[in-house]
Amino acid sequence: MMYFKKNVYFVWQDLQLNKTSIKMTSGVVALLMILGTVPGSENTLVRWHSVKDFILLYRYEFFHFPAFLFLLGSKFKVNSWIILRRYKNRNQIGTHKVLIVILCALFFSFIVSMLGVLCTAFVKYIVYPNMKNYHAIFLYVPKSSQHSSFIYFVCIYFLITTILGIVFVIINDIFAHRFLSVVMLTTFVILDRFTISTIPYLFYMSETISPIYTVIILSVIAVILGSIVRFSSTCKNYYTQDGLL
Amino acid sequence: MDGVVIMYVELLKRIKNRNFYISVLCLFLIVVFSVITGLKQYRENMDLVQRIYSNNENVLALVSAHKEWVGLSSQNFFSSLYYFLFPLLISIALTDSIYSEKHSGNISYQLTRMSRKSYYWKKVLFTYMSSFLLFIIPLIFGIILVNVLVDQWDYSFYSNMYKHLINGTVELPDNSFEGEKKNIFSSLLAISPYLYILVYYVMGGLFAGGYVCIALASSLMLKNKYFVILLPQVIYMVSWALFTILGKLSWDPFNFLDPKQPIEGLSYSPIVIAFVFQVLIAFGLYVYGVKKNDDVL
Repeated sequence: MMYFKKNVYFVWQDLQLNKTSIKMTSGVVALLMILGTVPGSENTLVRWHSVKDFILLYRYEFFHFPAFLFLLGSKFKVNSWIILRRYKNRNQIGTHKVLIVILCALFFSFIVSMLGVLCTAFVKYIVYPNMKNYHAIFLYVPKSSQHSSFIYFVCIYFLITTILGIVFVIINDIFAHRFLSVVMLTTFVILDRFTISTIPYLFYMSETISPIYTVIILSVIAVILGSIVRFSSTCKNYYTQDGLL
Repeated sequence: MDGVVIMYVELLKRIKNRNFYISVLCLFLIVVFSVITGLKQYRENMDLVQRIYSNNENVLALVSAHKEWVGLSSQNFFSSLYYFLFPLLISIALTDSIYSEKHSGNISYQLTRMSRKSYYWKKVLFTYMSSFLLFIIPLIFGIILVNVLVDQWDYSFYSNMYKHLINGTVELPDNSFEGEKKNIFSSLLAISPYLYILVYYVMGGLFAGGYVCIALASSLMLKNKYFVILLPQVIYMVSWALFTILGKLSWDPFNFLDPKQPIEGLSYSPIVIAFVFQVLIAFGLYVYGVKKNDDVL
């Protein structure tokens, strides 16, 4: 437990060391979300009535997830000597990797949800009350029978992002090549959309069918994958590899 | 002569790099998978059309195997994936050429043996040309693979039928083949499908070169290698999202580079303007980056 506290501190330090990637990712996400609310963007044939709809206007597989990988991957290459000086055993290095993923996912979910809330609030309360005609900005639909829970959506968003991030770490551990991992994971996530569509199911359907079980199952999967990363880092042969992470 | 030697040395450097093989392997794998799934669809489609239209020759001519070439193959995941991921896959192999030499100090040794102008000029020329080839060679391999597997090299029957279709001089049982008509480069398809696809592949190659050169220029300014290599994909996807949200679909490389012509209202001028704009950005950034790095030697 003692080193866990240190681990969190070190991960926080890593996140603070290079702020360019954080600024770039949140800047691009913010720019595109804000552009979604300005006049001129009403050409797209997508309607929304809740924050969740608004956020998922940019598809998770094609936009949010690559943006997250961009953030995570740029945080992921830490100088080997720094890692060696920080930690005593390999378990701690494994925990470090998992914690980077969790903190990045937390940050990313926070940014996306906050921007979503701000943009939708802007349209709902500032633009919409004074609007005479129904050419609403980004085809905003004021009333809908479906009221999706925002908290549940953020929770699922965070869990899916964390799980995919940890899978990225695992693939990266196996191939020791960040770009190959990005290519593989992006391919799998898009393939999932075209075949069994797990991620769209989790976002759109799970809420009405079994919300609590979904959250529990996703958390369990995240914990299992996290332990796999920890155990695999103890069995890894570091002497044949260029970098530790 | 000197230029040729430098290009050859560049090629050797790339060939000794693991990233180059990963990139080439991924590109060829996607093409092979695309051809396999495409041919499966082609056989099913042929079977279906034969049964529905009871061997109507005009219809059978329109169900041609060339539609399973990468890029033209509709409802094919791997064909779309190639056009979605090509900036990243090509960038993995080529973008870090200046970056790695700068960070290993190798650039200083090279600059004592040649002028700065020659070094940077050869780098950008090599990167542009090789990303063009890296984009186009797997796709041409895909064409050859489809043709060998179907055992058909002559598609003049299709182009004749297409010519009749756009002139409205062919009798078809229903109007389900109206979607065959292309908005742009239609006259090329009426001459030969090879000509049509070649124009699209060359266009894609030129744009791929532009993306990779923008990343190459940014490698002179950015410190994070991960950024630099992911930059072509980021630009490609952000422009996709941007043009989609603003409703200017015909201006988006993601749409106009696709030989399927997935959207309505495509025209030539946005393609030319986007290309010129991209080359100008790449060139401007590169010149700026080179000027910024003039303290190297």
